[in-house]
Amino acid sequence: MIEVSNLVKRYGDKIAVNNISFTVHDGEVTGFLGPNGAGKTTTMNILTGYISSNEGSVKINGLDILDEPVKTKRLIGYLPEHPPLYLDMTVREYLLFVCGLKDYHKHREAHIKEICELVKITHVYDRLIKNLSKGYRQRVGLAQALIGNSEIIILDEPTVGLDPKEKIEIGNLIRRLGKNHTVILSSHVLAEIQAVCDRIIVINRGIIVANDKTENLGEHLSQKHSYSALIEGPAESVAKGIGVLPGVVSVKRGERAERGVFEYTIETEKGSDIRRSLFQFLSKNNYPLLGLRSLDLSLEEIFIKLITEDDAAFSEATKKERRKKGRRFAKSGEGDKAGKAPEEPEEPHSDGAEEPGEDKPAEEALEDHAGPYDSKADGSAQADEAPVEKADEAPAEKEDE
Amino acid sequence: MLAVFKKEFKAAFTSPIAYIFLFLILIFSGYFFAAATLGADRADLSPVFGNVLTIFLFAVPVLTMRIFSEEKRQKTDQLLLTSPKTNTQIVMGKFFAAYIIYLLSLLIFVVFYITVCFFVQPPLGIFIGNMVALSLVGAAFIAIGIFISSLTENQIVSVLTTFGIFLLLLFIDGFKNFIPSGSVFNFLNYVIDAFALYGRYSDFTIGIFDFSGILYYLSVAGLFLFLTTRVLEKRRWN
Repeated sequence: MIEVSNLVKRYGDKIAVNNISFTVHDGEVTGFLGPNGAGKTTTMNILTGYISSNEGSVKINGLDILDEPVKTKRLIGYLPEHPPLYLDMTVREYLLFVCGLKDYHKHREAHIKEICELVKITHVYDRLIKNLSKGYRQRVGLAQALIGNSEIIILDEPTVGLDPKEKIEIGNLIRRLGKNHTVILSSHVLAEIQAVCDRIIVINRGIIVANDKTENLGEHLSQKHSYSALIEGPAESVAKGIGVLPGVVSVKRGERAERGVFEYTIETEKGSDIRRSLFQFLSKNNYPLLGLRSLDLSLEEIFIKLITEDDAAFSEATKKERRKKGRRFAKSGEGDKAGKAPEEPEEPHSDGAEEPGEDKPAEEALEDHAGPYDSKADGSAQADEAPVEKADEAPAEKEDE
Repeated sequence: MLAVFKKEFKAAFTSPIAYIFLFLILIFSGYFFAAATLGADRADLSPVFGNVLTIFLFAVPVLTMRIFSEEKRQKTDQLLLTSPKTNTQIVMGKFFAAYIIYLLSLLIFVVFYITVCFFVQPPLGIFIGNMVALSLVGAAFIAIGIFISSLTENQIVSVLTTFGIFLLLLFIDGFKNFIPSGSVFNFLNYVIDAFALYGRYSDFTIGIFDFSGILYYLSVAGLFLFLTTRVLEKRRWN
C-alpha cells in the first residue's frame, strides 16, 4: 500500500506538486493522468526516492521513504520517463546488472529470460542496447522495472515510443501484472489508461483534479448516453421513426455525409440500450445502417472537461490576484502610467512575470488535444478523420470487453 | 557495491577510456624508464617515480571524467539512485572500479624493478615505499576526479576542470617561495601545505617513508568521496 499525504515540491518559485494526497491499495492498477508538465513525473520521482519532496510524506507498506530508503526502494520497480539504459551494454548484461543492483541473486539467468519473454525482447537478448529502436529500448526499460519481482511497479509513460500493436501488448502485460503487483502508471494517452487501470488520478498543475475508479469517473460526468448513426434514407421519417423508439430522448440530424446519407445523433436514457430496436426499425423500413458508434463521454473528454474547468478556475483566480496587485501598484503612485499598471504589475518581481506565459502553453496543448475529439462530436464534418480514430480506438475497446 | 563496481569496471574496458589511460601510463613511464634509468646506466628507479606523477596528472582525469557525468547525461543515475543501494555504496563501487584500473597500471613498475634486478639489486624497501605512496596519491587523485565528475554532466568540463585542479596542485608548492619568511603571511605556508599533494610525494621518492603523508592522502580521498555522496544527496533536494 502506498500512502501519499500532502506532498509539495517546489522548484524555486514554481510549484510542481501542490499538496497531493492519495492512497494506492495493494493489487490496484492506478493511472496518473494529466497534461504535460502537470507533475506526474515529479510525483513518481518522489515516490521512488529519486528526488525528495519539500513537504509531506510518502509511506510504502507503512514505511516512510525518508526513514527507510533502502527497504522501501527494494519494494519498488521503476521505469522512469527516460529509460535509464547503458547504451554500451547488451540487453543481457544490462539486466544482469540490474539484478545485482536489486540484490536478486538466485536463478538470475532464468529470471531474466522469463522477463524477456514477458516484454518480448528475447530475440534482442544479446544485442547492444545502443543498436535497438526506441520501442525496444522502452521495453528493455520495462524489463528493468520488472526485475526482482518488486511488489510495487511504477511506470512513467510506459507506452511512449511504441507502435499501436505494442501498446496493446504492454497494456495486457500491465493488466496481468496488476493481478499480483501494485502498479502505478502515468500517461497522457487516455485510451490506454482506461483500458488498463482500476483507478484514475487526474492531475493538473500539481493538483489532483479527480481521483476515482475508472468506471465511476465516466458515470460521474455523463448522465446520458448518445450514439452517432449513419443512416441512408429519407431524413424526416428516419428521425421521426427513431424518435419514438423506447429509451430515446432526442434525435438530432447532423450534416449530410454522402448522397442520401445523414448522420444522426441519438441521445438515450441512461441504462437503456437501443441498438437492437434501432436495427429492427431500420431493417423493417429498409434504411441501411452504414455506421453506428457510441458518443459516450470518453475519458479523453472527461479529462479535457476536468482540466479545462480547473484551468478556468485557476486563470480566474490569477486574474483577480493580478487585478488586485495592479490596483495596489497604481495607487502607490506611478502617476501617468496608472492605466497600464494592471497589465504589468508584476514586472518588478521577475519570478511572478512567468505566470501568464505559463498559462498559455497549457491551454494551447489542450486545444490541440481537444481538436480531433471535438470533430468526433460534431460528426461528419471531418469524415476522413473518423476511420483513423476508429482504428486507434477499436483495439482498446476490444480489450475492455 | 559489487554490482556497481563490476559494471563500472567493465564499462571502462568496453569504452576506450581504460585503454587510453593504460596507454598513456605505459608509454610515458616506459619513456622515463628507458631514458632516465636504462639510458643513463643507472639502477635507480627514483627518476621514474619522480616524473611519473606528471603522467597521472593528465591520465587520471581521463579515467574519472565520465564516472558520474555520463550517468547524469544519460539519465542512468535515476536507476542507481532509485535502487536499494545507498549513495555511499554507489560512490565506493565507482571509486574502486577506477582505482583498480589505476593499480593495474602501477604493475608496470614491478616490471621495471624486475628488469633492473637483472643487473643489480636496487633497495626493495624504497621501491615498496614508492609503490605505496603512488597508490595512495592515486586514491586521492581519483577521489578528486570523481567529485568533479559528479558536479557536471559534461565530460569535457569534467576532464578539463580536473586537469586544471591537478595542475594547480602541482604548482602550488612553488608559491611558497613568494612568501617572505617571518612575515604576517606565514600562515599561508600552512594553507599551501594542506594542498601539497605533490610535495609530500617527493619525500617518498627519495626514500623517506612518511606516515603523516599516508594519512594525508587517505584523508583527502575520504573527504572527496564523502563530498561526492553529498553532491548526490543534494541533487535529490533541489
